Amino acid sequence: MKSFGVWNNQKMNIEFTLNGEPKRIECEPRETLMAALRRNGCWSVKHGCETGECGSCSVLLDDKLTPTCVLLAPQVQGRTVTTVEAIDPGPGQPLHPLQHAFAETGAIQCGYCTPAMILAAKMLIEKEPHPTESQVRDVLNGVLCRCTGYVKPVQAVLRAAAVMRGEKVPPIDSAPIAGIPIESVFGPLRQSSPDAGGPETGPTQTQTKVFTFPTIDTQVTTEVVGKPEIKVDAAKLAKGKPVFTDDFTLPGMLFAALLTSPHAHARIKNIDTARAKALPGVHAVLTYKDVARVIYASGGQTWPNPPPWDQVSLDSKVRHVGDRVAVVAAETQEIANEALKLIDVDYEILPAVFSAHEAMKPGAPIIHDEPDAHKIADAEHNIAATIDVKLGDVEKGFAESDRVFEHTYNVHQVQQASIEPHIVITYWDDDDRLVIRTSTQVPFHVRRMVAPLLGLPVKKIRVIKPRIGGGFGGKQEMLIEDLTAHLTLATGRPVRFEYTRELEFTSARSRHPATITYKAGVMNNGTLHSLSMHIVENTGAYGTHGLTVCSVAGQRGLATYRCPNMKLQAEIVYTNIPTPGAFRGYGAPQGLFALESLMEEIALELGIDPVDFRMKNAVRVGDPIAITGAIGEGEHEGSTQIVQTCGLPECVEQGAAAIAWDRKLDPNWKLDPKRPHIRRGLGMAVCMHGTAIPGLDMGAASIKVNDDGSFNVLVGATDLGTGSDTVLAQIAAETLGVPLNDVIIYSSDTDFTPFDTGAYASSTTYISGGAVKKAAEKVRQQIFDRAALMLKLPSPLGVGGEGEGWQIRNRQVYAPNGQSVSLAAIALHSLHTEDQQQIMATASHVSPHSPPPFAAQFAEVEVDTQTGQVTVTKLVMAVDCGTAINPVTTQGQIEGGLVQALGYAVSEEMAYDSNGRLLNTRFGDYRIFQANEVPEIEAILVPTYEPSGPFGAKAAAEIPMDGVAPAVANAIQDAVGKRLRDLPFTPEKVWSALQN
Amino acid sequence: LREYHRPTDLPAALSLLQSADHQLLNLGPRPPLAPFANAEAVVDLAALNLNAITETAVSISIGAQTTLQAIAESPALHHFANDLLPQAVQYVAHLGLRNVATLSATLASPDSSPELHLALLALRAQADVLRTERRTVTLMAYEPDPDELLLGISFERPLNPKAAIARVARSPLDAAIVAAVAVVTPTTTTVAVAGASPRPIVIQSANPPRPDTIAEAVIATTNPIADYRGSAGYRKAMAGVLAERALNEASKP
Repeated sequence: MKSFGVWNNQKMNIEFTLNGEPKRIECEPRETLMAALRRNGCWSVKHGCETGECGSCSVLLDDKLTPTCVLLAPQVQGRTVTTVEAIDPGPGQPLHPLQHAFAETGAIQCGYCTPAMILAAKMLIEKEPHPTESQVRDVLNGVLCRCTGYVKPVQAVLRAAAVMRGEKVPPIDSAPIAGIPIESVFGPLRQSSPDAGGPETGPTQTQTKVFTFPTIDTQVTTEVVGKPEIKVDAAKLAKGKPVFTDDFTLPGMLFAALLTSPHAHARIKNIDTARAKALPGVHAVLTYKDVARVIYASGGQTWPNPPPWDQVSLDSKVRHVGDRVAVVAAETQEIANEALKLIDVDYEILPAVFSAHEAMKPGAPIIHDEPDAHKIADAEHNIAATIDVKLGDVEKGFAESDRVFEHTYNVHQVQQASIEPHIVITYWDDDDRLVIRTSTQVPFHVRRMVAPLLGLPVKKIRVIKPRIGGGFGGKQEMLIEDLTAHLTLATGRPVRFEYTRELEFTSARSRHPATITYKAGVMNNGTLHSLSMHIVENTGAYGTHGLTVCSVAGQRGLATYRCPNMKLQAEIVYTNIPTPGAFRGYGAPQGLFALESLMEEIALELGIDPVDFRMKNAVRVGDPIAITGAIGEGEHEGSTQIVQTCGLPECVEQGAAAIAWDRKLDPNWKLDPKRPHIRRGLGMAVCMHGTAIPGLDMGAASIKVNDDGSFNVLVGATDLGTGSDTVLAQIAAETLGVPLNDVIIYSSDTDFTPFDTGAYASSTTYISGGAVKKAAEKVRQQIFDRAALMLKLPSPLGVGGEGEGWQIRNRQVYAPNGQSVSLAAIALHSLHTEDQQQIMATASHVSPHSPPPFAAQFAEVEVDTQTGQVTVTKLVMAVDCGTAINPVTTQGQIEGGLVQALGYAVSEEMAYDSNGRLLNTRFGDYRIFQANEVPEIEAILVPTYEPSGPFGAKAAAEIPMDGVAPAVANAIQDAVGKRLRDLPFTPEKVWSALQN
Repeated sequence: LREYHRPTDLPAALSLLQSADHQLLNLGPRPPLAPFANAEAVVDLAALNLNAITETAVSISIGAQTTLQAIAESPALHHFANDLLPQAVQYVAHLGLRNVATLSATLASPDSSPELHLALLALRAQADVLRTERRTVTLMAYEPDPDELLLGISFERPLNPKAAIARVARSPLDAAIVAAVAVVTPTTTTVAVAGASPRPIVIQSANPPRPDTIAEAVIATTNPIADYRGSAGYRKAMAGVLAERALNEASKP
């Protein structure tokens, strides 16, 4: 027998080939290959789960794609391991064709799964130089991506394969497809800014489905804005560089682990940590006895956080399975995990309630009976908050209506499932300031919110936000920063705390489930006359985003159509399920599922074409949206918004053409003679979202010039993979007349970058972009002034003057008389020569407007009438997001959002047993779509020019989440004549409907 | 976990596995959340060469340590019974996990998608098992035992077999809620169904097959366990629907 092994936790030596070189490493038998590789500098190997199901930790093991989190390090003895570091070309060298293709096609959003995808593609192309799209999808299925919808990664692999075969590929920004002059649809453009421009991009000409961009003719060309610029962070992400929170280590760093509640509702009668503290290697065990009791609300929102404030870092009561009980810091993760088992907790188990309706009934368990909670609306009935808003008189309106309809819809709880889990590293710096390195969407909110919990002033805290591996709202939360920091305060040591995938499901945030009842009064001519919406929202154990999510559900659910009488009534209710929070769409997917199902039902009942019915009632340019003002944002007052731009009619037209809507009337198309149990159907939904929170969201930017005429742009905005750094840099570059690579953008660090509310509410391009544009315009004025000095011309900055007649083009400043000077010369002159100054400016931007993006969502489905399985075969979304500052990243947002929304419609659901224990705490059980099962996807950009947005931009990031579920519901009805009002559309639900 | 062993012969492997606190290091398509929670040592069978797929004129054998992706790519299994086994493994796990998940671990993983197990049951496969002695049992009767080693699976190569998979799931490649595999040979018909009883249901009949009769037999045998993906009633109904559908598909000329 030849057997190698080691006793007593001694290290064992492993020899293998790593990236072409012999490698000998020491490891413990229990160390995973993922951990060993990362410990040895292979930072491209990413942790996303512990079961191999996400695939982000995959390497090529003997040239086969292999997840490393499920392998023990000793298993690679004598074998060959390849990571993305193997194809790192080195500084300044051209990227490998695969890396380049991923960068230029926009296949990289957050970039967390990119290294594994590139390895999968490498494996395929080396074996099959002429891969088909199907083959590409089959290999990419080993890597889950939550950002892209897989469209652009597939394009990237096909493109790279062509390049590697020596073929010439067309540029990404090839000639645009002829579009529709926007004026012919919407009348003259309101904006007359000389900076206005439009997208000029086109298809990438790969085998993958490509997309059209109707062009907008603003008579002005832009050099950077509207162009498919490669993301500024693409290269480092393609190389797998250590840019994420966890790609970092410190001497003496401890590892944290969280003890969570096994009970849905219980009081901690006693908790004994003595055995855990005695375990060698344990440095701290904290419970409610060890940290100050400071009430807070964890949602990352503008000060003062919306009510209720009902949380403390560690409590003597637990309110859901997975709630916090104790936290440990130890020398290794294994010791920390072991210590959790040694904490003795004596629980008094309390009755629990999981249904919002049950929770409001008299006699239901009171979940928040603590006396120090702040602004709970009705704790005795578990009502965290309420909304009651009226416009007009709905009851009178119903009485006046020819027909009245009333239906109730149920939406479910789903998880953001970003591939990078929540991860925080805290440490004291050399100035005894606490540094919090965290994967967050809201670094400035985190700093402000965590300070009182720690008993530290804000000035003693620095929050660093590295690259983020996806957030989708789940990181718009001060979730675990407080616990990690408490451990650093207790130990004086750096502490790393990362959620496992299971904790992501049980102890992070999710989308609010709700029951939504609509009552609609309609006139015989097909106009809405009265509309009431009643929402019972389940906010789980804590309030956090509950009120504001419900506000947005109401705003979206009532603002999309004209109606003189409206009413929103809502109860936001505590239960003992894990706490929902912010999730892409933020209430809109809930509200619009109900609204767009209702509109379809009314139209069909009235015998009116559902599209015609919608368009007859839809808001249009010039309409006031009074309901948004009436509802407001939490406790913040809202304001009536006037629709300035609306591309909805064009979205409907474009989307209908792309999905071949006429087939809806073709009975032959709806049947498949070879599969008689299949019925086909088409459905659509209209979507209207918001762009930022008016009067509340604020972003700021600082810009300075360097000696060579390049610029540093510092923003507090938080790029969580959306490409916002790139978009903001494009806005700066366009304004400053330089190519994108002359702009070095950095985000975000509370010590160095100016304030920004953060990445949420579809605000970054609009708000932070507005700040960047303002700052760049200030810098541009200083440049003009300096140029005038150098050219011995009068200052262009006279009274009210903004440099009229002066221009910057291609790094050269031109005076009205035709003289010019380079930016580099201006920079040197200003910094070193005469009347020295740093050309720089800071600007802030807040907008009273929240211009709505519009979209038309179409879905094609096949329904298996024997099993109830719904297969979505095509999704089309045409979006009016104003000007797409970067058409490729904008498309990527739409494509990824559609697939995430598809999961919401058919496959994703947090399921519980009768004791409130979550049943699906891993990928697979919680089903998000793989690359080789997504439908055909088409994203169409319909440009308008929003006068209040930078270069005409509105939002695009959240609206793709809003329309898929109702469009699929409507398509199911079209296919089989059954109306489903409860999400998700599981096979059994559809089958049950078919039995009736 | 303190020890890692990679034995190079079967007796050594068996001896290690029969030691207290020793656990087989055998990855399936659904790796557990805490794989080695109570193990002091793991035994890796990678050096035992139990990963061959061999075919003769009358049978095919698959080593127990063969990965699912090796089954997907095996020339011996392509064009056999309508590519039944390569097709089946596509449903069981994604590519990365197929590259590490072994046949034996898949058969010992009742929570994973069942298509491969069903396909082998429908092919009336035999399990080659080593404990103190080597023995062969039908796959239907085989129960994984931590003190013994599954060496491989084999099945006969009937003339011109036809096969089909029918399944229902939340998404096209999601783990099946209920699945059925039918294999039709010139002399026999076998249908295997999972998701409608704690163990797979296997119905065999002489030809010509009667899909409706077999579906009724399947339904009569069901004893479904409900979970969040499907109630007992739904699973029972689907067992019949999918058995009949698989059989109809496999019976096509």
